[in-house]
Amino acid sequence: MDREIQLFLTSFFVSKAPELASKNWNEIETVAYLDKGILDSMQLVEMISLVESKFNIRFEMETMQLPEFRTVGGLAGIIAQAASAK
Amino acid sequence: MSMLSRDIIVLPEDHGCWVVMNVFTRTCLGMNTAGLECLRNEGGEGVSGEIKVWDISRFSNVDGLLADPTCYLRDSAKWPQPSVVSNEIFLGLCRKKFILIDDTAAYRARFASKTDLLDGTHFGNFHQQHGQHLLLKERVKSEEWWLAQKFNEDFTGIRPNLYQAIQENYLKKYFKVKFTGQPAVVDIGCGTGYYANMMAEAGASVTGIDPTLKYLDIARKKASPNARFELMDVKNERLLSAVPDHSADYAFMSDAMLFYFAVPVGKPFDLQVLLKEVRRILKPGGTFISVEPHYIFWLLPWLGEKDRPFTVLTEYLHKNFHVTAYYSQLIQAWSQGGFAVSWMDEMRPHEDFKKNDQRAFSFAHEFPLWQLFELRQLGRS
Repeated sequence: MDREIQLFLTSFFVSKAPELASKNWNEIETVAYLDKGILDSMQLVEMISLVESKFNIRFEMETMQLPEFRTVGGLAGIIAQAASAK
Repeated sequence: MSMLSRDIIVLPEDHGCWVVMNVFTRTCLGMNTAGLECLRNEGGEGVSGEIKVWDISRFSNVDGLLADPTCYLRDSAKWPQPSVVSNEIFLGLCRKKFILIDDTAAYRARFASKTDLLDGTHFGNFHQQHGQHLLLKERVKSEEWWLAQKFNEDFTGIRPNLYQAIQENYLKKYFKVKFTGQPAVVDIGCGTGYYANMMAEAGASVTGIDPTLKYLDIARKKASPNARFELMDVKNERLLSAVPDHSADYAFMSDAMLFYFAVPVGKPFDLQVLLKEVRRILKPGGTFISVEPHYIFWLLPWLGEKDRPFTVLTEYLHKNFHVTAYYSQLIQAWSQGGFAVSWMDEMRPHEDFKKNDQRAFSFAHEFPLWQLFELRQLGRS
């Protein structure tokens, strides 16, 4: 599952920031995608919707406001946790 | 050491319970007298009886732009079952609701704009709180929500709320008096064309302009024979490029000017660009009509008895909620753009609305929710 999440997020963030294409996961997971301006509000909503539908989970507002949610790696961890709790 | 916030009010409710509310954060907790005593004694020494709390928070703005913004369940008969809690848990809940504050400086620093959609640290302004709630909690797009809270399902009428009781009721009469003799009117930011059609039916020849295609599609389907609808050219300084020079007797704009002063994110639009365009399309002697939320007493807790509501929170020059501008800001911007106020009115609800919603009626009866300005062009008679 972790690998699937990594591939999914890598593919999504590379589509929004092509400069990430040359990076490996260890580099991508540290990316603070909001602070770096990679996603605007509407793209963030799109990402949330895609992730929820792909992994059949639903984020609570409180979860989305955690500091971990703001980095690609932190987000991957939250998705993995939510998916395993199903 | 926690201290009681200086931003709270305490309101009595039925059945011996109380609402303790931070009016700036709009967070509150229902509690029994033992809870109140615990707060008063700063931690609970000498408190007798078990503490009960009611979780009564709800983002009430989601009911509509003109809904009671107090953000709690007003009808205590509908409150959920209370929880009996220890002093420690109770004090923790009070910290979470900003009734108790640990660090005053850190608390004050939270009154700032949200940095992004996920920012839960800063309280942000009204638009940001609303956008965040709609997108993250309700999962509704703001345009869809805006339409649903104002219009009925097929867009043939305004829902029976304060929009209908005040704005529509007022404008229907105003348009009939104003638009005799088939004047050419441009409705800027016409949305779904509801008022544009109303103006056309009152006798005007109307061009509705809006930047949202989805709204224009609805407007075109419902268009009155004397109304046509065109896209606003937002990427161009000639926003109203669909309208020829000096062709309009009136330009009309409702509930849109405020977004030139406060926007959810990013830079506000440039009002001077718009005003230049309005002058371009108006005939000499033509009038710009602006209908806006009232710039005083806007976002407030509607407290007190239903027939005698009051407010404990206003803001004017320095904004936390930031819904509207202030008058000098507005009128100076108009002057700079070549307009002067020639007439102004404050809209009030019609008496029949008292039956629908006594509290909303009484509040709007005391504090006007909309204002109408007529602006003449400086240097052009």
